[in-house]
Amino acid sequence: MSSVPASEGQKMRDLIQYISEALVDRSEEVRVNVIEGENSIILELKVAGDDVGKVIGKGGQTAKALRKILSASATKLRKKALLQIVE
Amino acid sequence: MIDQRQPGDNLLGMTEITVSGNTFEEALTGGLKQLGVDQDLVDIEELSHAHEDVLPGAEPLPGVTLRLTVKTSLITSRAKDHLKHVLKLMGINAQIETLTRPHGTILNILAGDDGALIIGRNGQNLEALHHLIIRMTVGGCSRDTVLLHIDSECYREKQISRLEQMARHAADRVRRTKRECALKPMPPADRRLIHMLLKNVSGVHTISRGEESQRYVVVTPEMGEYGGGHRGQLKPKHGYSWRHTEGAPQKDASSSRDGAPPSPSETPDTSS
Repeated sequence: MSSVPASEGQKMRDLIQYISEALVDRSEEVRVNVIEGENSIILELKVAGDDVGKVIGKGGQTAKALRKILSASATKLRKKALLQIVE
Repeated sequence: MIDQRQPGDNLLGMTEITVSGNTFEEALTGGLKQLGVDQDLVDIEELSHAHEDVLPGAEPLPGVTLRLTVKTSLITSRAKDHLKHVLKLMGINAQIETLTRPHGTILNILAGDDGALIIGRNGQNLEALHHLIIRMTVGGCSRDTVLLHIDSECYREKQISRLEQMARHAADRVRRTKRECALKPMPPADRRLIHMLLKNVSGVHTISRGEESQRYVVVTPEMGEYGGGHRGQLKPKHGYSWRHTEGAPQKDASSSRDGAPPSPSETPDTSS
């Protein structure tokens, strides 16, 4: 794509995109929207209707794990990151 | 041949099962469901086209018997690729080494300064990473078939020795007092390890109780069908609960749930 170095939001987008694509059956339908603020980043994850359960997991375990990993990598950039799974 | 494994054997990680079904597909789907992995992760061997173990003279039953073997090394290498990629995207520079242990394969992350970040508080990040990598590698409905661990700077190795000590302690106590002993709630991997460790210890029996993240292991004295000792089930407590319940009669166990631990002075010497 462009030669601009990947922004912090972009890096997190790639992380969530990569993990989600491996988790779901229909990886081509994974979309991640980034809303970047000064101190925080909101990521909106959208997957195919049948795959929502895969990214949430039993009792929300997978979603919880996704958020853990996301906040760990956000800590490295001294930012707060929020993951929302949108229908 | 019918699969003769006991349900408890799952704890050791099934890598091979034998399944039968009326058709090839039926046997295969059933087997994959039992193992909890996708088809591309198993080797399929067709053992027989029909059930052979029928009574002489009886008409042979239609059916197919398959042996499914999980490709452990393939899973390991795939998991390693995923892990490498995820760490790179997290902005962490790390080496991954593969260690083989009797209780499974360990992917050890050597991350230097970022080691603490990977482990997280109480190993939470490590656990999350483990959960995700397993889901990513073996697909949706995995039933912890794969004995693959993710470790960083040998944090888990140390954790395992802590668990071993905890299990030994609890088993000793149960054998001495003939009363069951509840451990604190633990994640599945830790619970499995406790079950495995105490499986061949005579005089004790282990079961898991509770729901989801609050599931905990109970070590019970082994006496046939666990001797009607279910009147007052022990509740897990924070910390090592055998200290709190020491000496408490079983039917009162639930009343001592919160607050002062009963005095450890009188140790009952009667068995049931």
